This record gives sequence, C-alpha cells and structure tokens, in this order.
Amino acid sequence: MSLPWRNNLLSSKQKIVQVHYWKKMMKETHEVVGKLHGVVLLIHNSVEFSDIIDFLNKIRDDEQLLVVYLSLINSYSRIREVLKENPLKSKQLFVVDCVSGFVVELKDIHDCVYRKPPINLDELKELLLKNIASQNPDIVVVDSMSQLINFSVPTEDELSKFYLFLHSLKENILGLSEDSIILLYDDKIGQLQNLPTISVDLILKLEVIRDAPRWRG
Amino acid sequence: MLETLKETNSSVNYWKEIEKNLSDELKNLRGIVLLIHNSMEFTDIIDFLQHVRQGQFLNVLYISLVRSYDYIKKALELKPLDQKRMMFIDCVSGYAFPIEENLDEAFYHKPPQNLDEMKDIIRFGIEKTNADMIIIDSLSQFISFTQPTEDGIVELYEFLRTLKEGTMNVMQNTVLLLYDSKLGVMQNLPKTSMDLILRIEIGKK
Repeated sequence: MSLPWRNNLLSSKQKIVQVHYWKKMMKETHEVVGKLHGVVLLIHNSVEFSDIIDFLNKIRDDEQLLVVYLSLINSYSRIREVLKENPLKSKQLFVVDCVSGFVVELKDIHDCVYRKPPINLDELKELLLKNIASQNPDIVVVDSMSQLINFSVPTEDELSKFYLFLHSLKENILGLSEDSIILLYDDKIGQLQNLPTISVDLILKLEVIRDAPRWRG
Repeated sequence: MLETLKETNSSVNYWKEIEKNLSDELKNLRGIVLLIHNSMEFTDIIDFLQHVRQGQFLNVLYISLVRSYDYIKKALELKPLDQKRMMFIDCVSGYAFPIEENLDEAFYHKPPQNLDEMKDIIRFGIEKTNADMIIIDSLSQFISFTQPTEDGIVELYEFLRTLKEGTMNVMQNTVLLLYDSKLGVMQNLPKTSMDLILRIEIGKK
C-alpha cells in the first residue's frame, strides 16, 4: 500500500549528494588563518583582489614570507594597482601572470613572470612546480581553481583528476607541512555539490557582503 | 537599553568546513546556537541531532512553527532519534486545535506573532518538560537576515538576551535556533549574541 507521507518524507526523487557543515569563525579566525599551513581550499563569493590581500595579511603576520601568486584572473598591472591602495604586510609577492601573457608578449621582471594560462590541471601543476622551484616560496596562491574545475556539477573524471593534482602537489612540494598552498575557488557558478574534503587540509569560505546594513548592539 | 546604529559597510564572514571534526564540534554543544540551513527536511535535522551531545541522554523541547507534530512523529517513526527524548510544542496545528490538548509528548499552541510571545512559549515548555535542549524551528518566521529591519534586530537581541539571562538561564543547556537561508543572501548575522553559528548545506540532485 502506498503511504503518501512516507514518500513525501523521503523525497525519493531527490538524492542527497553531499552535506557540508560550516562553522562561522569568530574568535578563532586569528588562530586558524594566522597559522595556516598545508593545502587550503578557499571558497569565496566573487570577492575582490583587495579582499584576498586582507586574507593574506592575516596569515602568519609575524613572519616575512614570500608568496607566489599564480593569477588566472587578475593581471600583474591590476594587482600592482590594488596593492598600492591595500599593501601586503610582511609579505613579498611574486606574480605568475597568466592573464596578460595571453594577449601580448611581455618581458618577465623581478617580481612577475608572464605565462600562457594552463588549459588543464597537468599544465597548472607544471607551472606551479617550475615557479616553486625558482622562487622557493612560503605560500603559493592559485587564483582561481574555478577556471579549471566546477564543483557544482563535477564529473567523476574531473574529480579524480583534481584529487590526483592535489596528491601530486603534496608529493612534489617539499616542506609543505611548513608551507601553504591556497587554492581559491569562486562559487558564483552555483551551489557546491562536491568538496574535496579528504584531499585538502582545510576548507574555508570567505563571504564578503558589500553595502550591508550593519547594526551595533 | 539596546542601542542600534545603522551604517553602510561591508560585512566579512569566515566559515570553516568541519565535516571531519563534526562529532567533536557537537559533542559538547552548549549555549545559543544559530543553525543556518538551505531548506533541509526534518529527516536531515534528525541526522544533525544524532551528532549533538552524543552519548548523553537529553530531554529535547522542539518548538515547531513550520511542521506539524503529526508530520514530525511520522518522520521519527521512519528515522528514530537515539538517546533523546523529544517533546514538542506544535504551533502549526495550533490553528486547528485552539484549545491546548495535553498529549504524552506534544502540546499544541497558536503560532506566536512575535519573539515576545515566543519567550512565553519557551517558558511554558521549560516548565512542562525540564528540557536540556530547546530547538526553535524556525527563526526565519520572525526575522530575515537578508533585509532585517532595525526593530526586528532590536527585538532579536532582546530575545537572545532574555534567553541568556533571567529565569531561562539556558547557558547550561543548548538552544538551537534554526534559520532557513532560502530568503536570500544574509547581509548581517547576529554574531555578538550567538555562542556559535553553524551552517548546513545539503546538496541534492
């Protein structure tokens, strides 16, 4: 016999793909971000580059660190412009600009190299490894993984390649336990169905809401 | 008295994914907890509650403004909740049962019109059940964090303050305030008045 309420309760037509639990960081933000190490996936809601600088400024702010910033979104000139208004404290930035390199051939300079954008994770890995080898950074930022993978509707093949990519990063980059690789991901594409919870050390979400009405109690 | 000041600014929220440590995070859950979700089903709420203060036997008072006791009872038959004695104040069927009827584990009540009336319902529930945990489903019935009014925020802070102080003194216990985020982007969360803010995103296809 059919039980309508039972069907309703089970919502059998919809299958749960994944459940994500998030904790709003309050006092522990300093603790968690301040001591950031390992492979970190930083999901954000289309934040601006200045917000990313704010985030980077919170990381290990008592150390002088070298950051390799592999950019698939912002050009070196744009990054420099924003840095004038929002300086990066206690960190030196080395940019791998994969935006301008696509348009016109530019000469590498002391704090930037121009490269063509990687078209898949293998190429991204190669590009990362080359620049890590030449710069020996403390922090590596990839902005952004959303250019290469979509966690809203990933295929099994895409996920498996992504896991391999993460695994390979961990294996090939010596001293990772002391260093950080921050993979930015813009979630504007849609709700995230699959998060690589096993293969990364930490998943954070940064939400910046502009022009929000604020109340002080 | 609570003073509010409205100004235009940006709000920054950092969230940490806690699936790996979920049991640790929830095993000693105390205080006022805001649980934001994306329209989850009651069976998903049961899954979440299984993790809360695991290993302890708890009296749970569930004040429902969105689901009837009848519906909840059937869901619990399908998916039982371990080590928790659930008692309900059904403010949905209250329309159909204007006179309160005292059942074994459920009371009927008219839906509260505001948070002041909700306080009275909580007091009533605490007296009747001596609950270790109170769940209000859902805060979205009273306030929208998408476009909150100043009055709404003042009322919410006052409500939270009353929960922490006075006769309710919930700090030894757990108060879970459910909030459905389907209303839109949450512009401002009541960070200062909550002991913890959690968010559950259930991906379905």
